[in-house]
Amino acid sequence: MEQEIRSRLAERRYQEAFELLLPAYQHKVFRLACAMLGNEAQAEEAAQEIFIRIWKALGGYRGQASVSTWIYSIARNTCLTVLRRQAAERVVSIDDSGVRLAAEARQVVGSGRGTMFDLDRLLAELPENYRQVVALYYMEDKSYEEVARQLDLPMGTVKTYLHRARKLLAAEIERSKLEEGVRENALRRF
Amino acid sequence: MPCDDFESWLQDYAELEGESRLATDAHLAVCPDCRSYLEALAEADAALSARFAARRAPVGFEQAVLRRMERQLPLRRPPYLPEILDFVGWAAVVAIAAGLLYQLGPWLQIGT
Repeated sequence: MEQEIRSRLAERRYQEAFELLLPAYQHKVFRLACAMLGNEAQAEEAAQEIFIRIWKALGGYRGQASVSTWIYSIARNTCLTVLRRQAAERVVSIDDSGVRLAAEARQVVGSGRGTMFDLDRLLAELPENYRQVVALYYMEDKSYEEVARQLDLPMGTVKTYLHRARKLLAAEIERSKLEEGVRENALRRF
Repeated sequence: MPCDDFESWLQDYAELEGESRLATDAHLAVCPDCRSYLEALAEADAALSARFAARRAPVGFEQAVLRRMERQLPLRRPPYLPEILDFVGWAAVVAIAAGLLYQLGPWLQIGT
């Protein structure tokens, strides 16, 4: 697929190239946007914008990088623009319906022993770069190579971020279990 | 908290083989902290897989992109524009050359 797209771009057959790359990369671009933005609705909006930017930039593709590298670069930059715009606009109000919806939709996960932990809260508390690596790793079938390629990070960095993130999550899960155990013991005494 | 010497191996437990796997299993048999940590890692792994796996662009995404392009890019540059410009350029060169030959023709008829 990469070669087919490159050959069409080299021949300036941009429409045909775009008709190949849109279905080929829609899911990966969407997943990358989900990982970077942490919100599916925003990711869908951003992913559409990413493909608009790709279309506009097709004439400037010179073949220095692979098509996938070039696409992921546009995707990352678009998501970073969205994140910067959000940071500048963000005013969190107690009445913010988005905040309420996010709180209601939080995924609370049960373990085998009935201990509950708030996965979304734990993910939100991770450093942003760790969270992106974790999300993309599980979206891309646990492929270090794919995460490194899409986020343009060295493989070693991806593994380090993932290990640290899982260590933090595991520590929180253990803490939740400890608290649950303390609560159960207290209830039994009554 | 897990023992420092085994923390990294516990993270990669599913991929461990040979000596490292044997050593880790022997340690797990006697260390409740590491057993608890391994269990927590497995729970985190399962929860994250359930949360993020099989994520795909929504149904109709391609059509949404194409509709958006129609709205945002109504005067879309035709991809064959460079070829048109090349043709116009060469046509102009030929026309100028033909005009010059026509004008200079009588002067170039040597020996007639």
